[in-house]
Amino acid sequence: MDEIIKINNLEHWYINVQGHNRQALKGINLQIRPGEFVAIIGHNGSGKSTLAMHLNALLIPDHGSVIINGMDTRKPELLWDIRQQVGMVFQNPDNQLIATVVEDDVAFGPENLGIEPAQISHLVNESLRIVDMSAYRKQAPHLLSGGQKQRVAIAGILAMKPNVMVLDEPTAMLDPAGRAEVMQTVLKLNQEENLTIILITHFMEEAILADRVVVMEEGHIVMDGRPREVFAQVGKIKALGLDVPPMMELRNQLNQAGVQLPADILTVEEMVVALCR
Amino acid sequence: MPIRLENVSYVYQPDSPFQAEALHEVNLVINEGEFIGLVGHTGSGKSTLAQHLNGLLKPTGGKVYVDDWDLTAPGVPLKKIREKVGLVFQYPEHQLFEDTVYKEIAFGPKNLGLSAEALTQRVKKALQMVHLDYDIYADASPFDLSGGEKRRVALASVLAMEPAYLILDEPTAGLDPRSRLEIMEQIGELHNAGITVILISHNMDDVAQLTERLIVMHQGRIIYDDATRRVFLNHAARLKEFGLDIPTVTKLVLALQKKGWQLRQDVFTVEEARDEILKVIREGQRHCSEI
Repeated sequence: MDEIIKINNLEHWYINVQGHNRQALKGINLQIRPGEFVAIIGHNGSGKSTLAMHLNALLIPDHGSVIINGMDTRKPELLWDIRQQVGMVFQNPDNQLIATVVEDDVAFGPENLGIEPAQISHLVNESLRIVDMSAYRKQAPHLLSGGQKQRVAIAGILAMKPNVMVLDEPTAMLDPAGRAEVMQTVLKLNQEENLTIILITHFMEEAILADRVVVMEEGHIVMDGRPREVFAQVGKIKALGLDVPPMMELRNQLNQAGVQLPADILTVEEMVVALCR
Repeated sequence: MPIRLENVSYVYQPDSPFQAEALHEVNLVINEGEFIGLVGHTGSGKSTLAQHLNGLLKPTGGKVYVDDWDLTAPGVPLKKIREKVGLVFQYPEHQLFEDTVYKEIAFGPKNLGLSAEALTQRVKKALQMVHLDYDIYADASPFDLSGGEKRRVALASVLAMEPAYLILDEPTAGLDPRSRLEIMEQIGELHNAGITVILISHNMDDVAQLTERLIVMHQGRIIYDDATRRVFLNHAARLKEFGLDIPTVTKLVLALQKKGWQLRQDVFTVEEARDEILKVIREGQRHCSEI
């Protein structure tokens, strides 16, 4: 099947107040297939968010191109079609909710697309059902927990019927329970609703849930593969200053002490199975 | 001198339809030199408790003492108490407002009536404590810095008051792994330098590795207050019920014990787990039946 996202030689520069140029993306090539769940990890300043903002034309390439479902983000006339196809969820839920009632907030996107009111009500119901927030539709968003707010923000995007959802550190400000709620929702969107997911995260335990992990460093893609393949390169991950999942680290240390274990252990359950073999 | 809480209760918006009890008869003594972890689910009362320790909130019931000053008494010198007990909020970089790092950090101590030279010394020392070079950063705008640097500047602005107690509310939330590690290392150094640290965190791996004592809150009450290792050792199952995480390595130890492995339970780091597992394997005691 054809790629839904095609990024060719993408470069981007930022210009700061003193007029200095800084190149944030240095020739990115990346193809993503429909239905893929891709996690992007890397340091602050590695270019992850800059890359994400190119996916729905919040930023336009300084060089190279970004093609979303056949549409080139450099063409201004395609801007709204691209943004309808690629929804974005950001870190701070409080900055994304605007209405005083949950269902109004979710309806905001489709209203702006000029959809018929009867159809909007259907979209709102459906979106709130998917994120499991139907019971809160008449609530004020500020009374919700962080995880619930983030799920409402996701519902607001879903109501625009996108094909791709880009989430930029959606759990960074949440507590463990909120994080689990949001990650469960993200997995459901991918597996049941068949959305293509791009998840930017600093939490390696979230990245290991993806089909594919892309590691960025200083504006380049430095690793790209299945989570097991990527995290098995413990030395390289550490050199990049990223966290190695604790079970991967333990596997490595046991291996060095002479215990034979498979190279791709990521979770506690897998470690137990491997040790019992 | 310790901080003491006696039967402290706190009610938000009392006598209104929104009345909510955030703390219920909390008793607590924090001694100088301790390194304490304060954990609990969102809404358990951790942050409300923290704000009682330097008089930002005053209890609606009970007493708070800092150095034998009763914070609820009229005329108590709150300025002195806030010098002594530094509080670093969540996302402290949101509070940055000056146009240079120097002015930002000098803002607090400036109000102490220090000479210009003493003030500069304070700023230098505070920057040094968070590993930022004075010559490079003093004249920079805090808003041009990276997220991790901003947070360290905010931390330095509290350290410049030379507090004896430092309360940190989720100091690494939202940071990338490298910045997270740097901040945690610096907090460890501050404790080694003699500052009493109270760390509020959701990250149990951090809490297990750093703190000596752990206070667990649930629904406005302290449910456990003991040596960190003992809390994880004795109450892992209960912590999960309360929606709290336990260190990843502890999860592994519990799962292996279920299979019949004889492992020490107070194992929290990868290195400790490696040694325990190697011991079992060398003794030929690898069990694999479900029990």
